This record gives sequence, structure tokens and C-alpha cells, in this order.
Amino acid sequence: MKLADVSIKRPVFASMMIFALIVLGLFSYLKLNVDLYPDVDIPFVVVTTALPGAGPEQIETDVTKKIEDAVNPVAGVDYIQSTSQENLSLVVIAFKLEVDGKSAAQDCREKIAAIRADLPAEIKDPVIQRYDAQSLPIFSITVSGNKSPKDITTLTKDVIKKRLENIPGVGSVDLVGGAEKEVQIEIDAARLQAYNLSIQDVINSVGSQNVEIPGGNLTEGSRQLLLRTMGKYKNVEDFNKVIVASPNGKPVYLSDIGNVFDGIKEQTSLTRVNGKIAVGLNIIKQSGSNTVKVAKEVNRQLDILRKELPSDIKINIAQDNSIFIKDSVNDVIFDIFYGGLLAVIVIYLFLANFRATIISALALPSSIIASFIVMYALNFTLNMMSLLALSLAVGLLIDDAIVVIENIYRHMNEGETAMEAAKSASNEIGLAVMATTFTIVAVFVPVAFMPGIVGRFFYQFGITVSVAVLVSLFVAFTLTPMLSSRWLRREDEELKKSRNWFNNILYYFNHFFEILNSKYGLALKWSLLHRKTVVFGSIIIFIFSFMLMGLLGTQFFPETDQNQFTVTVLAAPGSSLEQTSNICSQIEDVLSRRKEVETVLTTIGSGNDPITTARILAKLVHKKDRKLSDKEIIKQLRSQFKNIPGAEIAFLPPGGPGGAEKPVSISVRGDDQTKLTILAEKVENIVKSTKGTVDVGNSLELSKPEVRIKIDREKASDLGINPLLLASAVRSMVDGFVTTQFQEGDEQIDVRVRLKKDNRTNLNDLNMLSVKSTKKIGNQDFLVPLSDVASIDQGLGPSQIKRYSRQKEIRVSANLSDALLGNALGDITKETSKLKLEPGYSINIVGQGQMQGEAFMNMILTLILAIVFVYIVLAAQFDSFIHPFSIMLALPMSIIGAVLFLLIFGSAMSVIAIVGIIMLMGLVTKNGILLVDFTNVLRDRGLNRFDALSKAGPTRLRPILMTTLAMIFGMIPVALGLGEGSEFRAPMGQAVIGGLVTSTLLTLFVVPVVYSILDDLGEKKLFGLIVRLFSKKKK
Amino acid sequence: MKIAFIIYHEVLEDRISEALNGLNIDYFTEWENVKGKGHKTGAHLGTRPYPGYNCVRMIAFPEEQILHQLIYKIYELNEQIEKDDDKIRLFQMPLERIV
Repeated sequence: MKLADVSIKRPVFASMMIFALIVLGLFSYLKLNVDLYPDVDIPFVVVTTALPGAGPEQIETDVTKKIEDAVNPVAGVDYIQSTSQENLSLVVIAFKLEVDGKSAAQDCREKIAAIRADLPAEIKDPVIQRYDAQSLPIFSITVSGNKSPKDITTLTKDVIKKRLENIPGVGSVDLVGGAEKEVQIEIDAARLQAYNLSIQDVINSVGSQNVEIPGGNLTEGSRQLLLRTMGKYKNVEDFNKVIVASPNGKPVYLSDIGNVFDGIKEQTSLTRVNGKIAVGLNIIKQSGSNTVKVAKEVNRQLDILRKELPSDIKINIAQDNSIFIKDSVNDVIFDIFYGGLLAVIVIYLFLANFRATIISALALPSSIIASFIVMYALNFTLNMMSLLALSLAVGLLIDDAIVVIENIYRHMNEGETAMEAAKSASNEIGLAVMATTFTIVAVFVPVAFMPGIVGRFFYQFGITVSVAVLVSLFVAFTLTPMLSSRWLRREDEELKKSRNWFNNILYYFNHFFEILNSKYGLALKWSLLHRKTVVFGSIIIFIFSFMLMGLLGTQFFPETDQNQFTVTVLAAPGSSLEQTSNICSQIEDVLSRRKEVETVLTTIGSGNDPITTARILAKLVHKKDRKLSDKEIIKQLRSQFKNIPGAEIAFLPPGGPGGAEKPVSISVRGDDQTKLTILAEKVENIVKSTKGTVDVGNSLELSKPEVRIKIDREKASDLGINPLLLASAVRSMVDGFVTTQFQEGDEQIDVRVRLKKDNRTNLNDLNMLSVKSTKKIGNQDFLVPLSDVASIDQGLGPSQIKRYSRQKEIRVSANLSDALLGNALGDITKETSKLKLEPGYSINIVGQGQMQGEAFMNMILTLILAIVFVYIVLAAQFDSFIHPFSIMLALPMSIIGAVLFLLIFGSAMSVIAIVGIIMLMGLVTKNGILLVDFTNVLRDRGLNRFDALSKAGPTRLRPILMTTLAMIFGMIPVALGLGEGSEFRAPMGQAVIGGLVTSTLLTLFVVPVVYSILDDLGEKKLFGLIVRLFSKKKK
Repeated sequence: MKIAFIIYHEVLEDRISEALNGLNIDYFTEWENVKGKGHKTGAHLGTRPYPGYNCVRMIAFPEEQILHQLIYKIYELNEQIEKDDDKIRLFQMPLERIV
């Protein structure tokens, strides 16, 4: 081993190589960003288009369908999803994963620009954005105080929001709730009619008389003067003086037909903290910026603001994602530290040599720190996945060093000096160590390149483990032999001489091991003489483990207790903000009475949500400080919330890689809304009757009551009423129209014209509304009552229309309580498959269920690929097509333990657990390599097969047990899942530990037995011919 | 005049050098990475089953007294080496002429 020889001969050179790696690694570590999950580019483009005043059906026809048609031909579109709701069209275009998100968004922009003329003129320009998983709020604050809501909102908007927006890394700051200023002009419908005026006259007058237009420059002699027409109102009262019309030369002032006052905008959102009204600010970071750094700076700015602002203004932090991230990161570092410590204790027990333990333990920090260089170079972050990789690698990283130093120590025990032993042992074991490392890499590289979104999340995981083990291999051939050659010495004599309690433990442990080793030698010989019994026994155990697998449920990702949960409230369609707020108050009341709940943050109508939708975030005390888990608390609350009428109340799990959505999500698709509704109801009933489903709901919601104005086109035409003018007049009278802006200091305040409240509260009021005709009687304008040209009736309309791949869709969704996703979906699919579907109608599992199915399929492919890669490495290492099979027969043995341990710990088969099983494929072959490699060496030295196998087993038992136990103990902190967010990674640890235990125990017997069977087969005619063609002849 | 060939496992390089230095023998010819297998000593063939190589030092002795001292030293070293595979061999032959 050239590298080891050079390192032994040139210790300073070897030290400096490692020192350089550590310095660069530490430097890289300081530069690494911290985040919860890897930054995964999911090429989704979201098109948001607002058409104020339009209902869902109109939005669907006039906006959504047109946008869908326009973007559908863009290259790489996977599917299109849309939601048409009151005032808003939301089209989500999902592209295939290989498509670049930026160029996809650009293509969509071009396509939508081309159809802009076909969209209604009143729409606000479509907002086309790339979906960014990182663009969720990372920090939420609320501002409250003893001032009026208007003043608090102004202060929040003008001071706090602006200050936070200037923080580097902050993408945007959204204001939720509060009372924004608005100058309101409320018109009396009767007076308007009496003066023969229309609402449009008022809008035009107010807008046209509040102007300030530059008039150019006036040159007076040598001076140049700026010319400005000063037509802007100075104060709100000035609006009263607006002359709306001058019939017969007599002016009609605004004050004659209505009132002007400094009011607040009609509230469409509301924020409440612990029951108190507040103004909320949601802080969204820029894509790629560091959550923890941004949150730290936000906290710093908030501290400064608290000192600057009046003392009665309270700024509370409602949500700070960086806390969970920091806690998770710290807990993984805890896992790494204690995992490493336990692994080192194992080495010390086996070697009973302080120096050897220190030398092998040094491989751990060196390898981890050096791995940061590659992580930084590849733009990775310290996140749950990359840190999970490092915490799992703890036991692996020390493996190479253990095998090398164990061999060095064995050579020293045979009389060689440290220098001689370092040289000869490194040479002797070099190839086996390389092979074990390369099998690990062969397993983790396919994990890194696993297809699908889940694969993207595991990219950093796979690469980090691969890099870390390669660095550990480098350390095992440089630092370990170099330090051993200079510093290692035998301590067994000292151990015998100085017999204190600690040395006694070491002495008896090693004594026990010697007994175990000799017993193993005997058992191995027995196994080799009873090969059929061993093989059939193993097959039976393997079949039994497959049967046990049936008992395991499946889920996408393990659920984590993030010390918070969200209650979603869907008030009955048509509910006012006040009604939604009242329902929320009842929920807040229940929540605040629980001692586990620390803060209750309610937001109604935030973002694109209508006023009937509320989200109540319940922040819990830390899980260490409460007896019940979040799931148990939710279970209790669910039964309490059943008694709250007027709303659908559900719980939303915190967002993980599966997203913050209900786990069960079924898309029912078809063209006819009525038939679709009937089908969706059937599916909903199936979901409701499925064991374990709770919070079952559908996206159709209840139909929303609506007032429909149906224009009689003939009458309208006769009376000179243009339908477009009629529609916009109705909107202006009822919803109002922002005609201009009033400047107050630096602030621009909207000026809204609408009918006074008494004129727009019931159906009769609508009948009384008048619209100006385009015709004239004589020279006079005349007004036409709405009832003359249109009929007004009431009906029910959908509150939102969903579409999927340009078909109508109703989404049936549910949460799970005491049930696993895979099992629930299995039961649901079994029932839905019995439904007779008309052509063009379908029932599809989407969301987490779909992702789980895809992920599991991709992982099975990855598993197969990993096994093929392991075979390639082994075949190359042993220069044989046959020997890899004897080693790889250990692989099924690992599944037995993995399944058993998952069952014992009550975990399900999830993406995380499957990655653990894939990982086992690499770990388990290591033991086989050490056994078969030495068996081959002994046979080459002239021993017969039986003697070689009988000798190789006990000789290699020590390194096999040392590496396996180091790995097991290294993973105990992960498997126990005690820290923050640790439930997420625990199943991986459990599967790996279980798999290692059974595979090690079984492979110590199965591998030698299968080796001998395959060797015998080589003597047979046909099989032997194949073997002889490709293998070296063994004695 | 005698000539001696000392054949030893490469890891014992330091011990041999120390022994020669102790006897003030600073004249020799050395071959590294030499393959070899003895009757009682182990094989060092640079292969997976027989890893490692041997080294050979050829030393001419105009005076036999120093050679005897060396042989005595080799005995001593072999006493210290526990593994039979790694025992050092010395082959002594008559030397006819040194030019």
C-alpha cells in the first residue's frame, strides 16, 4: 500500500495532509449555510390572476381555461392544476423534474403575454412566479398595542415592515390583518337618483379633480420656472367640494349626495394572538439565503425596534422556524458526538489499548471535518439530510481505521515493532479495506441519484456519506498507520500487572471474547459439516421475515413532533369575516385552556385565502416539557372541536418533505360537474368509512349562496344599457371603486367610491339601483333602474372550481389518526375500484400517497442498482464471478433484523426506513468481504477449504464484531429518536441496527457455508465450466 | 575474504540498518522489493496471500571478525522476532577478489 508506506516514511508530510484537510474543512464549515431541508428546485410555475368581483364560474371560463390552454403547449409540462375561486384564478403548471424552473417560468410568461388581449380587460396583470418551497414564511411576528387598529397598522406598515424588508436575505414581508387607511366616499342612492346622476359620474369627477400634472418649464427672461397644476386635495374634507355635475349651471357638490370620511379598508383578513387582535407580518426569505442568519438578523432588528417604538407597542414573535432548525441541527450534532463516543468505547473494550483507541478515534473528526470541504464546494447546506448522512456515517467512518489498527495491533502481538506492524498490516489489509469502502460508495451513489422529488432530497445525503467514507479511507491509509508506527505500543502486559476495576472490566471482556471466539470456531466447524441445516434454517428465517413484513405498515415520511400544529377552519360559504372570527374564537378558547399550548396565532384570509378560511397555529411547549405528543393532543382536540358548528375544522400537519397537506388526497376527475359531485360524494363516503381517517373533506366545499343579475339583452339594448357598463356600475356601487389616491405625508391612501351601506345590504336595494343609459331624452341623460333591464334571483354556486390536467376535479382529503398512509390508501383503493366509472371519469391518488408510491418504486430500483454495484465491486475485488454471491447472500439476512427492529420500535416502512435498508446492503457485505478475503488468502497459502474457512472465521471475528458494534453503538442515538425532529431519522437507525445484528450473527455462519457450497458447485460439470472459465482455481 | 547476503522482510529495514550501524558497517549493496520464500521463513511474494517483499543486502568482508560480529547480531535479532515468517537469513560465501 503505497500511500501507507509514504505516510509511515514521511510522518510530517502525512500530518500536514490531514492538517490541511482539517483547516480547509473547518473553514468550509464556517461558510456552510444552515437549513431544514436541501434546496430542491421543483419546476412548478404558479400563475395568479385577480379579477375583482368575479365568481368562480366566471373566473374559470374567462381566465383559468384560457391560461391553461395557453401554457399547455410549453415543452416539458407534466400536468396543470387550477383553482378558480371568488376574485382569483390560480393555475399551477408542474413541469417534469429535468426542466429548468427559470426557463419554464419565462416560457409561461411569453405564452400568457400572447393571450393577454383575450383575457378580460378588468383583470389585474397575471403574476407568474416560480414555485419556491423556500418561499414559505420563516418568521412571523405580531404587533399589538393600546393605539387604534388603524394607527398600529400604519406603524407596522410604515416602520416595522420597511425595516424588516431591508434585511439582507429577506425576500418579502406580508402584512396580515390590521386596518389599513382608506378615504371612503359613500353615496346616497336616492340622492344620486334625484340629481339624475350615476355612480360613474361620481367616480369620474372625484378622479379627474384630484390631479397634479407637470406643465413643463416657463422661461421668464434668464430664469426657468417649473410649471405645475396643483389640483390635489390637501385634506379629506376637500373631497366634499368636488363638483359632480352642474345641471342648469347649478353645481352639485359631493357633499350633496354623500359623505366623505377618513376610514379603514373593508377588512378581508384578521390576525389575533392569544385572543387579542394584532397586525401580523410574515417574513419570507429569498431563495438560497440562510434561514438561521435571516432569523438572527430579524431578531436583532426587532430588539432595536422595541427600543425605538413607543413602550405600549408590543412586538411578539409568533413563529420562528430557525429555532426548530437550530434545535434539529444541534440534536444531530449531539447524535454524531455521542454516537462517536459510544463507537470509541467499543473499540477500547476490544483493543484494551488507549493509544490504539485514540488513533482510530481520530479518524472520526478528521473524516467529518474534511467532508465539509466537498459539501461547501458542492453548495450543500447543513440540513436534516446532510447531517443525517454524517450521523449515520459515524459508525462507518471509524470502520476503516478499526480494521487497519486491529490488524496492526495483531501484528504487534505477533512480535513486530509498531513501525514494522504498521507497514506489514497496512499492506495486508489494504485491499479488503478498499473493497469495503467502495461497496459503501457503490450503495450510496445510487441513493444520491435516485429519481423523483424524493431522490432530489436524498442527493445531499448520498453524496455526503460517499465523500465521508472516502475521506475515512484516506485517513485509514495515512494518519492511522503513521500514528501507529510512531506512537502505538502494546499495553496488554500493563493490563495484566495493574488490575484495578477498570482494567478488570477490560480483562474480563477480552477473556469473554476469547471464549466466544473459540466457541464460534467450534460452531463454525459444525455449520460447515451441517450445511443443509444452516441453509434451510436461513431460508426459513428469511421467509418468516417476509411474513413479518406484512405486519409493517407503510408511510411516506415519519411524522415529527415540531412543537406546533395548525388548525384549519373552513367556515360555511358566505360567512362573513365576523362569523369566521367567532368560530375561531371558540377554537382559540379551547386551545388556550390547554397547558401544553404556549401561543395561539389566528390568521383569517391571509394570502389568497378567502375570509371563510382561517388558520390557527398552536405553538406547544417543548416536547420534553409535556406528557402528550402533538398527535395525542390533536386527537383530544378533534373530539372537542366536533361540537363547534358552522365550519369544517381540520388539522394540518407541519410541512415536511411531504408538504403541509392532509396525507390522504384523492383526485376525482371528469367533465360534468354534477356527475363529478356525485362521484366525489361516493369517494368521500368510502374515505369516511375507512378505518383511521379523520377530518375528511372535499375541495368542492359547500355551495356558496349567490345573487345573480341576469340581463335582458333586448330590453337593455332598447334602453341603451351596455351590459359591460351595467356590470361595472353594479360592482362600483356594491364593492366600490378606487378612483384615486390621497396623499397624506409620504403615504398614498386609496379613495374608494361606493354606495352607503344602507343602500347595499339586501336584494331590494339592488332592484333600486340605477344605471345611466347611453341614450338621451332630449338633451338630458336618463337613469334606468336595474329591475327594468335585469332580473335578480338567488341561487347556489360553487365556492371554488378545481381542475387537474384541464379536467374538472374534486379533491377528497383526510387526515389519519392511529393509521398509516399505505394501509389507509390500500383500503380506500380496494373500495373505489368497485365503483363503476363512466368514460372520462377517474379516481386518482395524489399528494403524499402518489409521492409515496413513486418514491417506493424508485427506491426499489435504487436498491436493485445498489446490489448490482456491490456485485461489480466484489467481483472486481475477488476477481471472480462466483465469490460475490457467497458474500451477497448476507444481504437478505439483514432484512430480517431490519423488519424485526422496525416492528419492535413501532415504526412503519417509510422512505427513511428503506434508505436504511439500502444502506445495509453496503454495511453487511463488509463482514463477508473480511471473511472471504481471508479464506482465499489462507487457501492460496495452501490450506484446504475446510481449514481455511475454520481459521478465517475466528481470525476475522474481532474486526467484524468491532466494526459492527461500533456501527450499532454509533447509531443508537439516532435510533432512539430523542432529540428535536429525531422521529424523522429514527427508523433509519432502527432498520440499520436490526439489520446489522441479524446479518452479522447469520453471516458468520451462512457466508462460509454458502462459500463452500458454491465451491462444490464449481466442481460440477456445467456450473463448473462457467466457474472455471472466469475464476482462479482454488485448491 | 567473505561475502554475506542478508535477506530480510522489508519491514525490518530499520532493525538491519541499526545493527549494521552498530558494527560500523557502512558499506553494502542493497536490493529492494525482492521476492522470496524460505524453508522455515515465510514467503514474501508481493501477492495477496503472501504480501510484502524482502530486501537483500550484499556486504563484502575483507576481515572475517566483523562478519562474525554481524552473524552474532543476526542471531540476537532473530531471537527478538517472534514470527518465524519474518526471521532474518544470512548466507555466507567465500569471496575471491575485490577489485
